[in-house]
Amino acid sequence: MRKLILQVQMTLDGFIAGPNGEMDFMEMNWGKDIQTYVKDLTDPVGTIVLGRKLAEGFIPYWASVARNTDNPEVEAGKKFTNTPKVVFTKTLKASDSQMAEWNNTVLASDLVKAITDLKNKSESEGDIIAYGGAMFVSSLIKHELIDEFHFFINPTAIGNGLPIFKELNSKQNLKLVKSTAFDCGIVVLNYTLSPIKKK
Amino acid sequence: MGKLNSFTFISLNGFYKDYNNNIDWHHHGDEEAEYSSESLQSDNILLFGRVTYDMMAGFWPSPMAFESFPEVAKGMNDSEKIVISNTLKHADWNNTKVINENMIETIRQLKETSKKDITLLGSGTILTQLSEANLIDEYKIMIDPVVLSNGTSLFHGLQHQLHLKLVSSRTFKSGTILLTYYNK
Repeated sequence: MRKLILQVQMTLDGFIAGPNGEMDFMEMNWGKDIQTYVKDLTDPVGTIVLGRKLAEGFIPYWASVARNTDNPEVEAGKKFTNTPKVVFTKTLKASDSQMAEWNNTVLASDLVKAITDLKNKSESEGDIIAYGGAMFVSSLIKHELIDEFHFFINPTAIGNGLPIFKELNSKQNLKLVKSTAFDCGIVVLNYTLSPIKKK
Repeated sequence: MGKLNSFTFISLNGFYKDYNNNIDWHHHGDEEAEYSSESLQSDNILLFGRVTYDMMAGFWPSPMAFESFPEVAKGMNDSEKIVISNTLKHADWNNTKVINENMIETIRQLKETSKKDITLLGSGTILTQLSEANLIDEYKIMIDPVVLSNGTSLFHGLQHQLHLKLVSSRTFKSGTILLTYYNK
């Protein structure tokens, strides 16, 4: 059974983006320590799952990074571009013109079935990872599909923004696996779902 | 000149109380209680809003508090306390003063004249206002390993982004995290 990992940036007050999707809260000045953490998380990944909205920015952005050998992130660009991706959408079709530019990408619409199928493939195919956005991650959380959470808690509060736990009907306990503080001020909180779920 | 510190606990998704204004999701085990009693030994002035005050004044002087958390209860009852409220005329809890007017200016002056440091407990609305006025020097934020389906955000109504500097982090056995930040 493959595991589904969530890696997501978060404000200190629990939002993953500003009210209109702004990411300006993000601490960008990453040191070696946090880069290594992310590399260790990314290396075993065999499949990236994305919501349509994030995919429209994510896929072309990393493809352009991968083409630019002067970009310090060129290796990450290649990894994201070459890794098989599944984009969840109710509107996009495989025949749509933008799909021609998306490398190694297939579309899916039935979230629970497609994620379950991905998880049931051989573990040799690597981990599955999700990066956002808010609506897609909210659905993954609602259906309890995420096995491992890595919240990158930035040292900034914004007061209001996009949540990812709004679709839960009751409180959900988590089990802390590890907490790691980094030089740039980000603390990564790593949780799994707690076996004592729901009150 | 006293420093103004704040202490709050929140769910992972940033709520300091749930949709029923409850905080019973917060786990305060032995290790957390030990931390609280150590913190109280610094003899800071405790500051809170009316809602937090009512909750604390209703609990800490009670026999149950003395049985469950003897040291924290003694610290809480003995400490010098200030409650901020527009309506409260008089506070019954031992060693407690009331601030009725000009909260921001009064706190600013208190910081300038106080020999002791001041700790704001809970009180999300006041924390947001004092943060906006740039009066909080240090934030201690406990994050419980729980997400709530709905509630009130810690910095609800904040008009500007609040950029902080991470000072330290501590992990409790319960899975609760304590993060300490300075105002930038």
